[in-house]
Amino acid sequence: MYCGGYSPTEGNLAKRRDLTQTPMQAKIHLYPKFAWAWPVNRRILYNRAGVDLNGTPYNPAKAVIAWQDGKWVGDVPDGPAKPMAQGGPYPFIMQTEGHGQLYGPGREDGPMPEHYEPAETPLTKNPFSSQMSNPCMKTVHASEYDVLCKNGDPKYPIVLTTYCMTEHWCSGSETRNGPALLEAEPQQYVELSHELAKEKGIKNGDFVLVESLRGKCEAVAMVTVRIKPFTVMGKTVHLVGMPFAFGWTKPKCGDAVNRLTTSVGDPNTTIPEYKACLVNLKKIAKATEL
Amino acid sequence: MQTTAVETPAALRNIETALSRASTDIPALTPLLTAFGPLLAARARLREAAPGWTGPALVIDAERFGQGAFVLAQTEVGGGFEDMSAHLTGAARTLLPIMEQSFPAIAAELKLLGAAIASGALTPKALASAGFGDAAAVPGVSEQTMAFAASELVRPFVERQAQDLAAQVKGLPWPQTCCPVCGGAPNMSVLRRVQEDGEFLQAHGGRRFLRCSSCSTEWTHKRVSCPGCGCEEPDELLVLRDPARVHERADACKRCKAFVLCLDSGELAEVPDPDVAALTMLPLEIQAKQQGFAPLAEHPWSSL
Amino acid sequence: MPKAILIDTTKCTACRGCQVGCKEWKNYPPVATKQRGTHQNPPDLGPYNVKLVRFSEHMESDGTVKWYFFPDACRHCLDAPCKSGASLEDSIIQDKETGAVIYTEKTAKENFEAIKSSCPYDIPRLDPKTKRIVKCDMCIDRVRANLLPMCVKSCAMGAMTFGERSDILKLAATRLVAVQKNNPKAQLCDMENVSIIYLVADAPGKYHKYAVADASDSPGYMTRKEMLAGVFAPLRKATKQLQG
Ligand code: SF4
Ligand code: SF4
Ligand code: SF4
Repeated sequence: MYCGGYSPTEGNLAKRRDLTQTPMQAKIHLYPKFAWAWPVNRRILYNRAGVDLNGTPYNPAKAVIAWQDGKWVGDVPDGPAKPMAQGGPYPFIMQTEGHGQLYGPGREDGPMPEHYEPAETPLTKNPFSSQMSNPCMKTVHASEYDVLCKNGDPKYPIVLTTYCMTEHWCSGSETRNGPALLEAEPQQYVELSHELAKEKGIKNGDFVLVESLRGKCEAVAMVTVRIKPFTVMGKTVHLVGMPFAFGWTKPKCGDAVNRLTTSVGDPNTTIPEYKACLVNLKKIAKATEL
Repeated sequence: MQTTAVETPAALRNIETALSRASTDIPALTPLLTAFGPLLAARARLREAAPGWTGPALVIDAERFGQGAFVLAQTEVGGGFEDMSAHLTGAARTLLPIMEQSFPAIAAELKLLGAAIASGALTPKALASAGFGDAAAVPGVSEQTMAFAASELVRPFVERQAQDLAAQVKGLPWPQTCCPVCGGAPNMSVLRRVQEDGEFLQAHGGRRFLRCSSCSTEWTHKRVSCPGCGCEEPDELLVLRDPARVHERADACKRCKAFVLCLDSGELAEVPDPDVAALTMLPLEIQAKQQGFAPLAEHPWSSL
Repeated sequence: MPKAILIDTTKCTACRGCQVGCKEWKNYPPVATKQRGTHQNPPDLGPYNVKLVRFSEHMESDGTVKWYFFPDACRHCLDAPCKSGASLEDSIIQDKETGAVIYTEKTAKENFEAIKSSCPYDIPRLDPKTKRIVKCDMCIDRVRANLLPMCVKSCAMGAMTFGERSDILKLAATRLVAVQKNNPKAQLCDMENVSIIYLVADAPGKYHKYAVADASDSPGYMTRKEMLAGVFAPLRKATKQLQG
């Protein structure tokens, strides 16, 4: 794979730290002798797309490559052929037609961006598209927890989003063992608007049970002006937010918010959709997890 | 590149506090500090009063600079600092008596030198060239004493000119390990916590500034690399330090056998004057030399 | 020469690096806390938390949200009312070199309530174990060793600057002008009287009840003032002086 990265004379080329460059290279901050790029130390892919048929750069002030006196200067040319006027091929040499592409084989969705609602949505109609959610999303059907609400489910009308925080790293499984960090951020909380709090009879600091179709999680209510209800297609939609830094390994700090979220992934990489799912919540007098 | 220019009154105050702190911290160094301290302070005062660069406005070719052509290599006067000989007689009157006090062993020679300058037996021009390494003969004054005294005399004027010249290339890329102003080699480096007025996170450790042994200009340079040979192999780079003085170190390279002193000032409340800091690091310098490393450039006291 | 710290709250992100760094350097034990509906935790300054980042949020009349952070600690008053309020000569001392106001072990013999009430910034706290009164000491151990105070060193946003008072006053003035461009109410809290100078972008009372000595824009001040006036009449003069 990294064929060419070691040279018999210079050893590991990726360790090079030479900052010399030609004035032309300096204009685009190209350092050909700093480290090494696969393959053949070319820094910019399909770089011949930056020149016209004769090899003259479209933008001479920021030229990546140029045909001068019978050879290419600047970056290492992608495909060592002559300019197109002299019989060279199209610049996108790895594509069958030699042209750039917005969309190609192997991609699950595209080519143009589209707004889809999340797998769980409080809406019953996507205002931007006849397609409600991504038809290519990856779902899991392994257990009773792999279920999704129907669109606009009245039992779970509130949108939950999840995020991390400064004091704990990722899921917090390490940082929750740091006493000073745990002192600063001790327990699971749910941020909600004053409007929703009033609707649900919740006061700041109350215990709250957050429920989704998949599970339940206790949290302390953090009633804040930083969250405001949305008005979507004439309807009020409430948003709540919870961090994903807590879990059962540290007693009395709350359980993992992943008990609530969906198991849905993006079409190409299956990156999970933890930013949005549907929940409901209510005040509870006593908590067992906190 | 970033360069630092310290305002001189602050620099003077800085020298004085650094000196007194150093002699409290390391009593063994007090003789050295009392010898060189007044000289450093007097030099700072002279620098404050010295004229800067008065020559023709400089036209710096940024591209050539980027390729390593330092400022003085691009001036019309032909590669050197401007002639400061007109000021040297005055400087000698201030500086030589202080040096006589500090270095009794050569006091007699310095007296003779002072007399030769006052009488005109040694012309200011000859004195200036001696300051840049040319030979100059005054009966009864050894070669070493002449070189030492003359280079100390020109130093404040060189430093003051360098401040103006460095300002001309502020912000231009300078990846070299020699001085962007005069091409000199570094004899000191400082990790400085630079306060940037941006809205982004700031590094705690500080950026590395190399400091020119000839004109005291400082310029930023890659932190983990040997300024002698560019080596970046962790196995080849060595940090020598005294566990009792964690902010001082000698950055040495096993590959080229060079070292440069380094003051890690990121955590310090007051960053001491780099000359005073280098002076307090003399034990470290000796240790590095004993381990077979050579300095990229010497300090006046290095060869004591 | 006297030292000072500028705390530019407009650069503070409430990361609480200073709060944690301070107690780690001092080797204070952790305090058991609960989530109470705010990120401000522990709820207040305490014997093991001499630095605390205070949070406050406001919905403005135009619908914009303001979220303010105030890394609270002792101001090291130039003419410290707490020192004047002490009954012993050397329970509370002022370091000549830096101007730091330092509580010694003799504070165990002081009347805590009297000392606490004399402080216009509500800083002193009692250590129930040692009976000593505690607060920030400007990291005097570090500063004497030419090291930055721990909180200043910890701040990744560069919100805090430590230095000579004269330099800090200059910096503070420059930053004030810059911040006032977009925040006409910006001010430097009690700059003339304290060594720890806060730059706030809005009315100080919106950050913290005791952000300034005379926080008359915050509720609850009057009762405190009355108490000061009544019970600690002799201290009034000192407080007045402090307010300029
Ligand atoms: S802020 Fe309070 S505790 Fe600190 S010096 Fe001033 S009066 Fe004393
Ligand atoms: S100066 Fe030191 S003691 Fe005071 S708040 Fe900062 S870290 Fe804590
Ligand atoms: S470390 Fe700096 S940014 Fe973080 S809370 Fe303290 S003052 Fe604010």
